[in-house]
Amino acid sequence: MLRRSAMARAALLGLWLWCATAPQSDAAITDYLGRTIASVRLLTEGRDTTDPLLTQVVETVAGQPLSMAQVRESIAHLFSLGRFEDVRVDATLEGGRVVLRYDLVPIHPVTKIQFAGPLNVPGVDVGQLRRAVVDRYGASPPLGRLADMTRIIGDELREEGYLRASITPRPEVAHAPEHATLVFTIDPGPRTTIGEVQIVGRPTVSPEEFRSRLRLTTGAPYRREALNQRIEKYVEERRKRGYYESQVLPAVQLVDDDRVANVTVTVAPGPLVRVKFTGDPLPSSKHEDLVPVEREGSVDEDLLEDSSNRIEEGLRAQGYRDATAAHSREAIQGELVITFDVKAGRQYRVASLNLSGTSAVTQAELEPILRLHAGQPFSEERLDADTAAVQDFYRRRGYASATARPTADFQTTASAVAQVPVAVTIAISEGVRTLVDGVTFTGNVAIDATALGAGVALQPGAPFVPSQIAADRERLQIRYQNLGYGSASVDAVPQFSQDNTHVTVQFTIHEGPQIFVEHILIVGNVRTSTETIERELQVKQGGPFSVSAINDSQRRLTELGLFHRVQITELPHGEENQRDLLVTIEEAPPTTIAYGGGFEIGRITVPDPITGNADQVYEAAPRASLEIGRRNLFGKNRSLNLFSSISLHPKGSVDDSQGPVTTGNTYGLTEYRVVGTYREPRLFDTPLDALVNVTIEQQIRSSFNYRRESASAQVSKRLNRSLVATGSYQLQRTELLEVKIDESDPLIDRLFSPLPIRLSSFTGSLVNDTRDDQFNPRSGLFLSASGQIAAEAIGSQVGFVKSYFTAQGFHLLPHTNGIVLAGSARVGLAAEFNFEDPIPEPERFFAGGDTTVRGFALDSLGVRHIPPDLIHDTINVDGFPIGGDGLVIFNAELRVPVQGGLGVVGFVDTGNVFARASFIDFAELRSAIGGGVRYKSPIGPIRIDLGFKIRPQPGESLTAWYVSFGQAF
Amino acid sequence: MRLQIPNFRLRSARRTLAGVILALVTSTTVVRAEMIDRVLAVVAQQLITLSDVNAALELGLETAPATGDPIRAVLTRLIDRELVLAEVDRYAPAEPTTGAVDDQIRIVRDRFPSAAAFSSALARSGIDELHLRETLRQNLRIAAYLSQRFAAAPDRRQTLIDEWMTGLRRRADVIDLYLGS
Repeated sequence: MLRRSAMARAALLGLWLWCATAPQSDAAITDYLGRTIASVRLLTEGRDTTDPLLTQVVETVAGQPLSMAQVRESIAHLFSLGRFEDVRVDATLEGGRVVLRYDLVPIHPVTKIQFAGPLNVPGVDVGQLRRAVVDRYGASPPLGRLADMTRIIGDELREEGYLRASITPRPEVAHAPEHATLVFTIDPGPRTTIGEVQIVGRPTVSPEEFRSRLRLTTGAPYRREALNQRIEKYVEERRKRGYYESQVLPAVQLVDDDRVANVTVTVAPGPLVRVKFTGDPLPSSKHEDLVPVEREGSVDEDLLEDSSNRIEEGLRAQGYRDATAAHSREAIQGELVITFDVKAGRQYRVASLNLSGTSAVTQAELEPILRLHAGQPFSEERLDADTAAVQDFYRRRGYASATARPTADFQTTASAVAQVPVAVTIAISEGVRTLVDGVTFTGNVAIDATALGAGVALQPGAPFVPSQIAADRERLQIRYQNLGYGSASVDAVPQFSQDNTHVTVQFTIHEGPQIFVEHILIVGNVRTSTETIERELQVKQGGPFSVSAINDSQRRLTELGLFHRVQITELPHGEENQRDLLVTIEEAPPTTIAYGGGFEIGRITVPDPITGNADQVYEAAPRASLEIGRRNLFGKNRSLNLFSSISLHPKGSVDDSQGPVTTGNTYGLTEYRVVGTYREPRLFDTPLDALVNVTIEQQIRSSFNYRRESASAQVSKRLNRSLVATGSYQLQRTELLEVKIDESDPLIDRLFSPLPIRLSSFTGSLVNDTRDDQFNPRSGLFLSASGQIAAEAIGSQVGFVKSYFTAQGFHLLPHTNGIVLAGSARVGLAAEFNFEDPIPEPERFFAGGDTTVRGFALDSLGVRHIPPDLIHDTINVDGFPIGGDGLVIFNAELRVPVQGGLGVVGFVDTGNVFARASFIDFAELRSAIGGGVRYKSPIGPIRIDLGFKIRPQPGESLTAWYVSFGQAF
Repeated sequence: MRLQIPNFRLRSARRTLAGVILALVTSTTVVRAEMIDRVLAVVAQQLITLSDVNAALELGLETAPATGDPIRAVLTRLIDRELVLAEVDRYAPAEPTTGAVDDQIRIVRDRFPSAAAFSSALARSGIDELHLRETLRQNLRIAAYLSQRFAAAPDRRQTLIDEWMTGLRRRADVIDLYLGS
């Protein structure tokens, strides 16, 4: 029996030992490595998931041998998706194969913040507490910041007098979807109230009023920050009244277990301060800038010392090099009088300025860079600046050792004359000119020396400019960084010949490792296809990790207009010479609705009700617009847009010479426009963008009104960052509604067709836009050329060719506060194939108005001869414009920012409309000058312009003004 | 006596059953899945994993303290390393020479009795020689940065570095997920 029992025990022990020592029980990582992976499971909170976004970033694959490198990489990918707060990988052996399990612990975003506890007590505002948390950590604060959030809530409660509030945070986690509610349980505890209040010192108001202004009432809640703010306001008021040394200091003693705060306020009113200037006068408008006692609210010694220095420096810049402005303090009848005793002394003026030692450079070349000239007040500061400029001038021309030394000979005489002449000399030692003999590169492997040499400014044969070395080093470094050599560094050593006339610059390059992009993970796109996003990425998997390409990709994705937010971040990676990129996008709503309304005020041409002649009047027309857009159709960045606008023009008009007169209660012709647009980027997977447009409109022009239905199809291709080529086909039907030209006019039959006209045409254009901003450019160029052909062979009732050229330039003037010089030139040329079938009216060129030649009413510009010249005139005998086949417009505008969003402009506009392109005659251009105001309002940039005609013709008014949006060009 | 036999048998059967359960329970415990890697910390968006800690220990880049949790100790040092590295990247100190990195590789390799043992250690950590090379290069950059930045006061160097590290840790955005063994 005993033997049997012992045998059983031995057998059990053997079983236990077998189990305990089984190979799978004690597996080290080495036991798994290299073994075939049986399966890979992904679990989120214990549940299996086959989310393709997750499975696609896992590198360990069933059937493949297990590699720790792949495990590491998979962890990095999964974690980088930003969805998990922890990733763990477990392995087990099953039949000699590895079962891998990725345990993913999801982040539980906080979707709700709640407060619990006895909160119905005065001063506890749950909304305020929530705002404090959200303002600091957002609406979905990270759970990792619980301690900080608790502290913030505690601070808020302390400010309300709850000094011993207890706050207990608790996240309540929920699943499917993963989220958490953050609950703060608050026990405010007792509220501290103000106990005894003691005022020490002598406030300038009665103690009762002082207490009342600081709201220091016994029994009131003690709110420390609010008390400090009231004290600050009181002190501020005192300082505004000249009591710059006024001080109010609170001291608080907490008693009765912090339930009561005894407050002692020490008041030091300080004397009334008066600033006085004696001696030589200073402009009173400058007093506050020179001695900013009032602005700073202080009379401390440092500020007064700075003020003295400021006055002296100002006077020295005006040639008073011996100027002094000592200050003193004096108490006079309860006032503190601060006196600045200004002694300007004699003024020093430059009698002569000589440059000596010049040989390789002429004085005429140096003079433009000098700020000091004969006859000007002498300033040492300016002389030093000129000396440095001369030295720099030489160095830029290869004179690396050139020096310039200034001397000033003060020609003082015994007699006390008011002005002292100064003979200024800048002695130049040119030294030798150093030319670059050669530029060599060492340490470069990835880029050959020829390519590197072509990219630097230092070139053999060119003058050696020392500062160029640093610029070239930076260029080389950026070039390497763009190839993925993020840690590349470049050293440069110049080796001079014995006589310093030649130099060889040696660049030593430490390339460091090249970093490549291994994976690009795109997350956050729900509607947008991954392909659409990938198309805009300038970095590719396997390509170099280029920071500039990443920035470029981010810009391109943002420019798609499909996303609220685009972020490309670098992911940590198992391999340090490889990076993964995570493209996180937040999609914008697919449907957009925009609407607007307002008044359009413009000067238009109308027939006089009695004579029928053209008359120019101001008209205000209410207008409204509605735009509905659906973007990112089918996730391919296609978009569909419907824009409609309506403008109600009064039947009567407002004559500017007689003030507003209402001549009818009903509206006249309604202007409207309905435009449907479909945009398809990368048509048929080509680099072409396509646009299909359908328009129905009814418009009012100066000499006629028209209704038009049109459709167009356009393809465009971006040739480079700024250059776009476009080709389009248009089919349109235009019907004239009201021709304001007298039927007896000899041109009426030729120019104004009584029947609707069908036009079928092709247009090609090329646009090069390097402006920094489309709406308010400060620099860059806008160049465009377009050509249109309409012919009977393609279904048009009229055949013609038409071209239009635009060149606009914008230049920020240096050394100004943002002043922009803008210029524009526009030329239009057109010709019909058959003189009997002239170009239809709406297709002709018109000019005059707020975007062409200001000073003239809309479309009213044209050639007019007396007596009428039926061949050349583009204004008929009644004064109505009939349009032309030739157009020239030139504009120049100076845009000056004033303050905030306010700016002013001055402009010169000139141009005209000619009957035929061959009739263009610059002698017949009409011009206007004027000015205007620009204001960047919350609803858009508002523009008001007033133009004055230069040499107005008989019957023309001198001026025209406009109110509109945006810049004129 | 007759009664005792079945009783004995019953007791024996009970013991056998308990033994089998014990063996199964024990065996169930030992066949549990083994964690082969996990995220231990995130420093400025850089992950530090268990395999990073293992690599640092196995390759002798960090040494475990005589007492306490070795993973905790090495993890803390790797977190500090990432913080310093972020500073180093901001100031870009001189790039170490290829020879200097080669020397460091040789030192690590020499810690192993054979090339196979060295390769095996790399494989266990999931890194390759290129990765190791990059890690050692970064270590040299850190050393260059520290000697450049704290060269002025050799006697107080370590104190200054410690104070600087304290500041870095205070400002750092570190998620430490390791709770200890």
